[in-house]
Order: sequence, then C-alpha cells, then structure tokens
Amino acid sequence: MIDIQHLSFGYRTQNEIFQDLTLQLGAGHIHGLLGKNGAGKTTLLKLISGTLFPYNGNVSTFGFTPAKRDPMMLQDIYFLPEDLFLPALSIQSYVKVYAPFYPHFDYTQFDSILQEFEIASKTQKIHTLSHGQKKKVQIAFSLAANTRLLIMDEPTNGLDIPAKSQFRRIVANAFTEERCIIISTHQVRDLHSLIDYITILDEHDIVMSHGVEEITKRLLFKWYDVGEAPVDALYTEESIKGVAAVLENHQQAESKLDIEILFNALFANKDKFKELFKK
Amino acid sequence: MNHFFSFYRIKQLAIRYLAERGRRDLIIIAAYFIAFAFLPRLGGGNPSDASTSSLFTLILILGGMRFTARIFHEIHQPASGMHFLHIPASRLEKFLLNGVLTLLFYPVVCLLLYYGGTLFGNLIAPVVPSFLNYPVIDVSSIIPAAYLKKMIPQYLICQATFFAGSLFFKKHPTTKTLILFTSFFLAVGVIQLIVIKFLWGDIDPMQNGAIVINSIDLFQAIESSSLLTGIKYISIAFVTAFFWFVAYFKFKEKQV
Repeated sequence: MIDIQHLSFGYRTQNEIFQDLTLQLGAGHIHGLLGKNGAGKTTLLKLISGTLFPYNGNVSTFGFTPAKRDPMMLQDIYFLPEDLFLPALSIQSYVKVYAPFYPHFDYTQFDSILQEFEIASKTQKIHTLSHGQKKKVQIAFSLAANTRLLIMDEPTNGLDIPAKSQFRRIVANAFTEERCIIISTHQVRDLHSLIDYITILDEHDIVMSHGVEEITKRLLFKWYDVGEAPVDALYTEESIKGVAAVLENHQQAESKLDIEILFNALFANKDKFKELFKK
Repeated sequence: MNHFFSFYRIKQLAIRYLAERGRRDLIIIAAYFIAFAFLPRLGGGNPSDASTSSLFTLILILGGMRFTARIFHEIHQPASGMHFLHIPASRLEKFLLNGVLTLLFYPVVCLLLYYGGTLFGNLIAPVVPSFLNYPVIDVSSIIPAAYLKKMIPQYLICQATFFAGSLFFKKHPTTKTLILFTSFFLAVGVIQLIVIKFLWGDIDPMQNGAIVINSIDLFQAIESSSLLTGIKYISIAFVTAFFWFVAYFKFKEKQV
C-alpha cells in the first residue's frame, strides 16, 4: 500500500531527517510509528500523504505519487493531525460539508461513534467544544470516512481515561483487512493492545519495522524478581513490579510484547537488535 | 479527466467556502450595501454620478485587493494548511475556485450590491429628511459600459497581482503586495526620469510642463490609436497571465 524507496528529506539541505530511507507498509495492519522527539515521525506521515515532498527517492501511496495530491488518492486517505483544525461549524454542518468528499463515508457509523464517545448533540459548534471533544469528533469522522489509509498523529493526546479505552474499542471495530492504519504516538501504553506492526525511527533511518508476531518470535519479554534476571538478557529495566527483561527467544516461547520496554531496549543496544532482526 | 477536474468537487469546495466563510462575507456584504445606499448622499453634496462611481471604484479595487490577498490565507497556517491540502480535490480545482471567487464572485457581488444599495437609497430617500434635496440617483446611467470597460483591465491586473501575493506572503499579504506593486511602478517612474535626464539633461519647469503635456498627448494617442490600444491590452493580458502562472506554480509546490 505504501512503498518508500531511498527517501531523503530535510527541512534544510544540510540537515537531513531521512537519508536513503526504504520502507513498506501494508494493508491489514495497525502500524505503530514510534521514535524519539524530532525523529521525523510527523514528517514521514506528511511525506506519505503529500503535504511534504522528498528531495530524493520515491514515495508511492496506493501507486500514486503523494506530492501530486491526486483527488483519487486523497479521497482514500484521512490524516488526523496532532494540531486539530476545525472550522466554526456545527458537527452536522461539518459532516454535511466534508463527508461528500469521501465516497465511502458512513453516516450511521459516524453517529454511532459519536454516541459511544458520549457526544449527544450534533448541533453544537465544534469550536466551542473542549480539546478532547474536538478530538473525538475528528476521530469519529476519520473512522467513518472509511478511507483505505488512516493516519493518526498522537490520537490519544487530550483524551480522558475512559475515552482512551473507547478509542481502542472503536478503532478495533472499524478496522478491516483492506485498511491500513498508521498511528504515530509516544503514548504506547494507550495503544498497546491495538498496534500489530511496529516501525521505529531514529537518526535518519528505520531501526525496526516488524509485526508484533515476528518480534515476539525473536524476543522474549519476561518479568523477574530483583537480582534474578538472567545475565545474558539483552536488556533489563528495574521498576516497582520487578525487573523487566528482554531476551533472545531461542525456545520460541510465547510472551506478551511490551512496546515501551522494546523501545528502551532497542535504543540501549541498537546494533545488537539490528543484527538479531537481520537473521 | 476525473482525476484533475470535476464540477462535483468544485461545487463541494464552493459549499465549503460558503459554509465556513459565508457569515464573515455576509457582514462585509451588509457593510457595502449600507455604504452604497447612504454614503453618496451624505455630506449635503449632490450625489453625482462621479461620486457614486468613485465609491464603487474604491470598494471594487481596495476591497478587492484585501479580499484577493487573503484568499489563500488558510494554507499558510500549519493546521489549517494541512486541512486544506488534504481535502480530496485536485490542485487545479482548489486553485480555480479561489480564482473564480476573486475574479468573478467578488466584482459581480460588488456590482449587484452597488445597484441594490443605490436602489434602496432611492427607495428610502423620501422618508429621510436630509436626502430630500437629492432623492433619486439614476442607477442605469451611473455605471456606463465605458466605465466598466476601463475598470475591467485595472481590476484584472490588481486581482492577478494580489492573487499571487496571497500565495507568496504568509503574513500581511495585502500590505506586502501593495508595497511591491507600488515599488514596481516607482521603479518604472525612476527609470523614466533617468532616461529623460539622459536624453534631455536637466529639465527646467517649462520643459517639465511640456513633458506633462506630451504624456497627456501620449495617453490620448493610446486611446485613439487602435494599434497602441492593442499593445496596451496585450501588455495587460501578458502581466495578468504571468501572475496567474506564477500563482499556480507556487500553489502546486506548496508544502506544509
């Protein structure tokens, strides 16, 4: 669905964010795009959706060149940005104005998502809503648009605790094998159960891009009491709960991926992890 | 064809424009209506054809500059720019709609408001004591075809320049384009002075007067000669087309 080949990009030519980056993202997955602050997550999303143009290399989204902003491509992409822009319209007017641009927009689905988010009245002016409520309206619209590619930049920022679990449920329900959802986030705990493919960016390049199944096939995530973690662990992290350890999964044992620990482990020992996933 | 141009999408973009900016435009429309209805009759002077036409010129050109210079305002802000560029319509459709809004919608609405406002002024004049002296303005005669013919090229150049300005300047596009526009004509004036000085040396007041008379003659010559008029219109068309092309390529390359 998304094919990036040898991409180079920087806001200034001397300071490139990406150098020769190659990445493929397929349908049927909820991709988690992770990286430190300034790693280029939002920039990559903008390159995929066509609001930024690469210096070198190719980006292809459903076979289109995003920089051309072809309406056939745009009607199949919804970008939910971190900084929301919502015009001074009521919710129902917003839908009336923007839904016709998306041929697969489902009005019933939009209403039911709003209901689930406990937004009762569609006559409310969007700009008078709280930040969290605005986000809920945008999330509802983005999912009801039923685009093949849904890009969400920090979608859980500003959502209250119940809304975060509602969000997970709603996204899981709206997900189909034909869709590709990319979620860029720092709040990995909020989306832990949702993401099934992880892409981690660092220093101009992709450090890791694998499915959760593939990761847990190669890595074992285990908790130990303090002092009991094996010495050959790739990474250990102490907390009140004990010691979280990441080990090579020689025995193909089953474990539950902890994205936050994986992220920390990767940055503590990047070369080792790269080598491990090359095999 | 559907990839680049669809009347359906243009219609949707127009609906979006009216929904989001309609209320603001309505306030401006009301202000223009009131201005056309009352201003020509205020101050006790005769609301002559000339004064009404100059108010129309002022609103058409100055208001048009402001309206056109802000037409792409939203693409310069990161959040609204992202929002606008992601709307599923082609670059050509978005560009064309804004072009039509500034090139046709604004002047036509101005013209309608002018006639509407003046008629409304005529209608209420008998009941407003201060209007009793000059109650009726002949709407049909005050904007003759010749006046409109003169105004159209002026508006075309202004529209094209400020349209490009709205894409090039993130902040204060009206002022910045106006400064550039003025600077350009000042530069042309300075070049003319240099040429004159080079050709005739220092100029005394008598010579200066002669140059002014000559330039008046030149304007008259342009008006009366079909060749010179043709050159004038070709130059206007060239400048207008140039700014339209520049604006389109700037819009195509816009990144947020």
